[in-house]
Amino acid sequence: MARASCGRLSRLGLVLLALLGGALAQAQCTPGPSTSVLKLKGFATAYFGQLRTDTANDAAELYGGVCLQGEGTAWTLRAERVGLHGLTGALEVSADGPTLSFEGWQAHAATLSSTSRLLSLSGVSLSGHGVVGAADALTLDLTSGRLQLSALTLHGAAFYVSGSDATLDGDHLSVQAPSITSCHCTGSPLYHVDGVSAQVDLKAQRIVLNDGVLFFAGVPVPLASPLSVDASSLAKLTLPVSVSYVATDATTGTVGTGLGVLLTHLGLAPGLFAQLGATGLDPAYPLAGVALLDGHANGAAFSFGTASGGLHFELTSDHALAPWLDAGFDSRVLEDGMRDGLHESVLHARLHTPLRPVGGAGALTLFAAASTQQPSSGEIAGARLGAAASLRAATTAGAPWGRASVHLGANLSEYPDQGASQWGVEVEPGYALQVGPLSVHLGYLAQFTNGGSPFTTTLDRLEPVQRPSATLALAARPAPDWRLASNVAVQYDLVGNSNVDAGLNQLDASLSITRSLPGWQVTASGEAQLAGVISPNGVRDGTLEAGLTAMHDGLELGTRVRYRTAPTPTGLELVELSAAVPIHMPNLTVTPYLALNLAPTLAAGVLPAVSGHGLDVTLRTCCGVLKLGYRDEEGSWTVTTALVLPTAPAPSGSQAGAPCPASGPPAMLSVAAGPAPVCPTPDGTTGIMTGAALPP
Amino acid sequence: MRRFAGAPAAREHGVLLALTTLLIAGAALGAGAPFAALTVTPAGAQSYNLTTGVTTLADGGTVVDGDTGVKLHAATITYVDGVYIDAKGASVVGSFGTLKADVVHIDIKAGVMTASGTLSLKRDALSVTAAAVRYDANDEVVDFKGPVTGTAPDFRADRVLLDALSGDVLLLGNYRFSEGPLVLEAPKGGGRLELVFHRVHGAPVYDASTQVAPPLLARFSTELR
Repeated sequence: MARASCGRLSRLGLVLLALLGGALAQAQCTPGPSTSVLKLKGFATAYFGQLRTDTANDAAELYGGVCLQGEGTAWTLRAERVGLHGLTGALEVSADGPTLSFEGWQAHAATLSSTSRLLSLSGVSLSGHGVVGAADALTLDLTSGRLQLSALTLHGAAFYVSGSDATLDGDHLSVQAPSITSCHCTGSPLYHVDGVSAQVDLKAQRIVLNDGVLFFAGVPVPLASPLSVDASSLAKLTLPVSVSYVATDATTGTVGTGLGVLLTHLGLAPGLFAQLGATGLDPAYPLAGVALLDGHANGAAFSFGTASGGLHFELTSDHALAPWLDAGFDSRVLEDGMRDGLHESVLHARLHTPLRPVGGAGALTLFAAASTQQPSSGEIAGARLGAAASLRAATTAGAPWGRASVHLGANLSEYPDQGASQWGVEVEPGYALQVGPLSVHLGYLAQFTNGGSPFTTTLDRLEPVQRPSATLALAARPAPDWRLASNVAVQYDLVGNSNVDAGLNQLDASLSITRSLPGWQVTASGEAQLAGVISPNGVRDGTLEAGLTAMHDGLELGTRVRYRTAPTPTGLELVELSAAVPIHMPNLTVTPYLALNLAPTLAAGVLPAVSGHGLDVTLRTCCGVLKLGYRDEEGSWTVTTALVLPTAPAPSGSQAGAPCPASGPPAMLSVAAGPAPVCPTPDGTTGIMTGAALPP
Repeated sequence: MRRFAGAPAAREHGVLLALTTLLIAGAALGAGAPFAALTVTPAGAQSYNLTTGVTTLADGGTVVDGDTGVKLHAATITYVDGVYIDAKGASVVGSFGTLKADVVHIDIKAGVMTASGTLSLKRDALSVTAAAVRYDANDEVVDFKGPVTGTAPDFRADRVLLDALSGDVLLLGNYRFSEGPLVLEAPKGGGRLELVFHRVHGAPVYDASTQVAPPLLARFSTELR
């Protein structure tokens, strides 16, 4: 399989020079006062300055600027000198430094060695159809008009593609063993995508790659096939790095794993991948390694290894038996603590149908499972048999009066080994309205159940919930250099359960105002958590916080003050000064971040405490700008990995890619958000970004 | 010096010569000059006009130049001793090859032969037809005037010069030259194509070149002036 070799790309720089050099030797392809005309029957018409024949060697030579114009096929070849051999037999043509023009292509070659039916050029630099490139050899079949290239490298508007062989058919190029990258490097590119074959639409500047594998820093990552790559779809290439943060969920009792970084989808073999990394990288959670072997084939997938300190095994097999019926088998061993040591195998069938008149869908699921759990209270084991029905309906989106929705669910489970049963009914109506910059969401979650499951809530035990909630959000730009954002959220539990107390569990309000000044951006913000003030229970937060942040070209200065009223200890909790100062070096910018809490100093005269730290590294490479960074702000982690791709310098006459805004910030793509246009930035780059904003 | 060889039959008012006659050319034609040593052999009757000095070989005959080796054979020959020879239905053999023409005129004083009418010239690897030809025996250059057509090699030209000594040829003006799959046409407005005679494994051939060698241009300098 060919690899994108940036070494060969250096030849591209010679293309224009070579073509220019070729042009200097060109003869007019029309008769003229100093141009003789030679017709080579069945091959071409030659326009040239001088000719001499060599009958003894059955040869002739055209020189002084030669232009050959093909018979039948629209090709033109120019050279300073052309040799003709086999005049009385099979004609052969040779030339040094010829330039071939064919259907919009210009190919300058080191040598030409051809017959009357096949033009063969070697050491080729070519341009046309919006690309420039190089190839070890080019052959043009004069009978069929088919052009073939070997060991080629093409440079389009947004990418480089190389391959072992290629065939041109109209404005479609089929490439064998292609390797694609957007890196413009003199060494090995940071990443490239290899495939078995690719079709290049020269008109649309699009590459469709079959069986592609992304190699990022040498690490193989299989990609979807076929993969369409153009200026806007390079964003489909995702970095093989996953950053996650799983916090302990107080409402469900799920134990978190903290900050995790994984190298994902490391291709071992077709359909077989590995994930390597670690969780608990932050001090709040235990450090644990992750080593998982993943595979998939024919609707089945498995994952086996260790994660979060325990054995991890999952096998899922789902099959669509009919458009309205799926069936499958799942088996899992999750000893990582998140599911209370779950061992389980499940057979399930799901009937489903869209309900278009009500804008929703309905489903009925039947299952039979054998499960064991090992919570701290002791092992639970037994069979589970059950059925679950769900119905979703909603009014049309975008209506001026808003959108109403409802989710209805009911389930019934039997536990024959324990002689228990559980039923549950869930009703969740909702309403959303958007009026200009103001959006409102009202919701209510009602869950009725007997809570009869012998297993824990991390598996299937249900608890009663009666929870109204409301959110009011405002996002406005009152003036071109002013931005205003405000949010109010309230949640009230009418009944309590094992995870939450009854009462007001959330009443938060926030406001931020941002002013853009020349070179600076200043944000003032305030936030209040009032649930702990209005309805204290020893857990709910009651805080008032105000902050001011100023940013200028990577420099970030900030201050925050927070006063806590609940739970205890109350008082001035945070008086923070923070700064992020970029340190610029050639091709590298390092921005350390440090936040100090002066509240302990003010209260007790002790040294300030570190309330936040972080580091951003921006590395500018020939493949784009690689950004890596983390920030811990009072245990709230943010991790960013981003690759801002360069847009390869577009060859003359190249066509533009997908439409992009005429101006504005560089488009970045969040992996979770799916494909989106990738547009040139003011400095000629396009962006791909992965990242995670991680809750504490 | 001129040698004269005639048939024994007497005709009209001419002088009958029964035996081969040797004629001495005029003193003005110095020894070594072209057409200075002619031997005339009548094929039949010949007549001599005493008033004009014109000799007519009504049955034709042969004229040979002892110096250049040029041999003229014609159906009818009229000549004035030391001045000119006119021939019809003539075949002339010399260093330039074999020339056949309806009409041949030899200017003995100038050493120039011209021919016209149906006209062809053949020699090694060269076969040419033309509207007119002029052979200067002094520099041994044949000048074909157009349209000139060659069948071996295959060419057409407005004008063709032949070096009778080397066999080299120069096509001039609007020419067309064919060899194998090659069909060569002159630049717009005309040009020159050199056909150089040589032998390959004993076989006479011509090589073409649009870049005319300076020696050949010098050789044809008189004609190209």
